[in-house]
Amino acid sequence: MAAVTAPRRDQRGLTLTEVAVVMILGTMIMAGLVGFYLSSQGLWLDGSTQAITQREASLVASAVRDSVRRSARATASASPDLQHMQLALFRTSDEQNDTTPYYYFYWNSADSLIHAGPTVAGPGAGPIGSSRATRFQFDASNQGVRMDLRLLTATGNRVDMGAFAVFKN
Amino acid sequence: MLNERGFSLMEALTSATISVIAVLGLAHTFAMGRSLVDRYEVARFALSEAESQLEALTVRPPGDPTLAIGYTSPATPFLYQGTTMGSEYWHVVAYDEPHLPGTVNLKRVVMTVRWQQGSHPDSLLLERLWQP
Repeated sequence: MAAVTAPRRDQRGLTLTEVAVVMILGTMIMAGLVGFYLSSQGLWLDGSTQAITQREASLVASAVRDSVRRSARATASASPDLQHMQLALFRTSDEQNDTTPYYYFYWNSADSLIHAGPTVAGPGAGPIGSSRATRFQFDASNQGVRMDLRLLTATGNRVDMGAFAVFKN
Repeated sequence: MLNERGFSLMEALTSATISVIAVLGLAHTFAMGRSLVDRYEVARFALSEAESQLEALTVRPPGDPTLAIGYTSPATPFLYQGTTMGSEYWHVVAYDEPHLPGTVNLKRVVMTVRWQQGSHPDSLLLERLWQP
């Protein structure tokens, strides 16, 4: 009858000190990895929201520029305040007969977004983009309109944009 | 029979060094991406500024000396968020449109914006053709 011999294994195990050292090292490595992950995620979020807001600032500038070029005159009013103005565009330069603007750009205090449309807060009007504006100013002359815009990203960074357009209608 | 040799200290240190280099490389790409977004922010503003300046030139009378061929405007500050980032100017050169009679049948107005962001110099040129 053959003797059955089990493979010999070291059954000494781990001491409490060894386990503690391994756990401390593991915790440090995990903390480093989690920290790196969180900071990289924050950086990505910051960068992507910044890029989105930059694109929206360009979009607003382009929309204002295109609309002003299609117009003959404009009036800028401090509505609701000097930091957030309203631009009303007219098709003709006839101030006597053409008294109703055909298009508006304005800041809505309810959502802090830039809105545009044929009416103010009426049918057909809506926000351009999703970035809050802290400055939306106009300087309208008899030749064109200058716009000064400041948007905030979702993480609170500022993005500035300016535009000037000439009446071509 | 299990191999219970394990890892030597040198092997562990080598693998740790490689891992650290890989993580640092990854972190560098994130930081680089963020700095490119910042760089593009000023570039977008510079493009809008150049467009606005060219648009403003269109209201000048045709015989204006600042739109004469060979003219170079004095440089003016290029401001972003209240900080002078660089300068901007325009110059006018002759342009030969082959489908039009004559050799100097159009003018080309070139708006240049130059700025410095950190240690990185940048510039932008925007052109528009003008009737003489």
